[in-house]
Amino acid sequence: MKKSTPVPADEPLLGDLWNRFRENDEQAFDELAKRRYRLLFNYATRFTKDTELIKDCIQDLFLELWYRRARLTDTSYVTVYLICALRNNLLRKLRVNTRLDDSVDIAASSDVFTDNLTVETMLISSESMSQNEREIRNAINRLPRRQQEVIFLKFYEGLSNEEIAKVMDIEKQTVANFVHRAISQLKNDLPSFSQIMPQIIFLFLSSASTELQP
Amino acid sequence: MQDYAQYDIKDFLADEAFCRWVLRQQPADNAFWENWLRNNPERAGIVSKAKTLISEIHHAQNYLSDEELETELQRLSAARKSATRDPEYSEPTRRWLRPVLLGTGALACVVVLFFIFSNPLSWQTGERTAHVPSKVYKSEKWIEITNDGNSTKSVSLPDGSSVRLSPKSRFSYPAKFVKTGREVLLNGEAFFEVTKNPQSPFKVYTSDIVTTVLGTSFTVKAFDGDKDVRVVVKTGKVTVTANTARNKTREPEKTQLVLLPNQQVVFHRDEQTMKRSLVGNPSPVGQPNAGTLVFENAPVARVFESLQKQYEVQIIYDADLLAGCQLTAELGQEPLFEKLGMICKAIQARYELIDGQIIIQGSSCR
Repeated sequence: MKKSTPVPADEPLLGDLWNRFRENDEQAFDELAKRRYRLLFNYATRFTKDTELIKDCIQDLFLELWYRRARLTDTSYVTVYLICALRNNLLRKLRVNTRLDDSVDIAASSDVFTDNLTVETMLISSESMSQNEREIRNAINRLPRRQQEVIFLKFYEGLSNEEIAKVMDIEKQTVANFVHRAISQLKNDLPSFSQIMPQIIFLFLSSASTELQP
Repeated sequence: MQDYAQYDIKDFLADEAFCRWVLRQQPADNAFWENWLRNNPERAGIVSKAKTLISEIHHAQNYLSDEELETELQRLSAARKSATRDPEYSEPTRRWLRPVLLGTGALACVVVLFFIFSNPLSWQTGERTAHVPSKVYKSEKWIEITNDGNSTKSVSLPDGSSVRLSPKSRFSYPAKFVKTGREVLLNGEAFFEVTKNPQSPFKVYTSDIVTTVLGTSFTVKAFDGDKDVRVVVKTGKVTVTANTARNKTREPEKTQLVLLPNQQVVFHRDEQTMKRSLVGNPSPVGQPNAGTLVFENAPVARVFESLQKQYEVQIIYDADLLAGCQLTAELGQEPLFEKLGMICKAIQARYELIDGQIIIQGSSCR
């Protein structure tokens, strides 16, 4: 598996694809799906570990767009639009499932997220990861669900706090708070994060020992 | 303007402009940060560390393999194509398009190969007409493909299944499949790769028999024959039914057969009978080179068990009678019947093939 490339600068192109597919351009539609499928899939893993449900949801989302193409409006935020739509569909589906089956409680599952991920998914996706990245993944998966979502939108998709606030339907200040809490938590959990720490400790110790010397 | 010179690694991570630069690499951001680093060379270490960390956080959140991505995009494209063909169809949920094997990227396939040898082009005229239940005809739009050329013609179906139609053959399928089943008509020869969907069985109607795909990934294949219709199963499970429109008088149990791996059914047109048997040369199911089986003074029952597993065939024997029989043998790539011959010779037994099963007739080795 190749590493997913950081967000490519194709957002302007996306707007173009969007407009073309609204005018029945099938290739533009396929291309749009190709460029944003991975992002949407990975985003959805912040809500559920049921990868089959995720795949169905994304499939439904794109097909719905295709059916409704004549009625879609122009948008300059295609990615944000897709993320919002997927989020709504996913949460609706998960709520229905929760009602039917208590074991699929979104809130309850957030704490044990890593453990619930299917072994297959873990294996496939972690093959190409460095040790560091694996630790980061585990640390992220230990965060509360909404913090995970913020971290994803910020560090996977590179959205601004304002855009994140729009997607999650919360205040911009709340996003900023989530970001700070999540980063602090990650810093505590990740050794790679605090590699500068030994230096500080060393400085502290040396200064302490200097002080102790009469 | 932020005072980036005072930033620690946490501040850089939280900073929107910094993240945007690392993740999106847009020219304006590049210019700003390159310039800033030139003016603050002592901060280069912490900046590069923050950059690495952001990239790692980005990669750490990828849960989709390239293979899965490819499979899903193909599935979506197939669904979109069928939606394009039929614009009135407005229900987006089509669970039956679901591919089967998560992670492998491979579609579970059912491969069916039919040979129908007489009057291949007498489609709805003449005696050999494919009789299909009327509900199939009710779904309005049917697409008919005729192959008058000399080479195989590929057809892809709305559910992602594909058909390779042989010359002088004709094939029809509905523009959209009804929810309860995927039903197609064939006159001639075709090779089917059917995407699995337990909720919607795939049925191939021919003039005399109906072949229904039931189970998971498996292969069906036919051999040459005269005035016969044959369906051969390699792995998995298939049901073959005599086409009831032509066989109203027959008892149901005689007109339906379930085929297991390495079994085939031959439909004799003259006698209107179906007969199940093992294929001429049963092949191991699963990995073709599953390796050599080595037995040293092994109870013969264990040998039969491994063969049953390897070829997914039924071997019937009297376990009590053969309890004392032991075998030392190395079973490699030789055909199944050769292996059986060797085993039977060693334990002084013989084998018979009855109704697609292998019956061992022997005597006690004690």
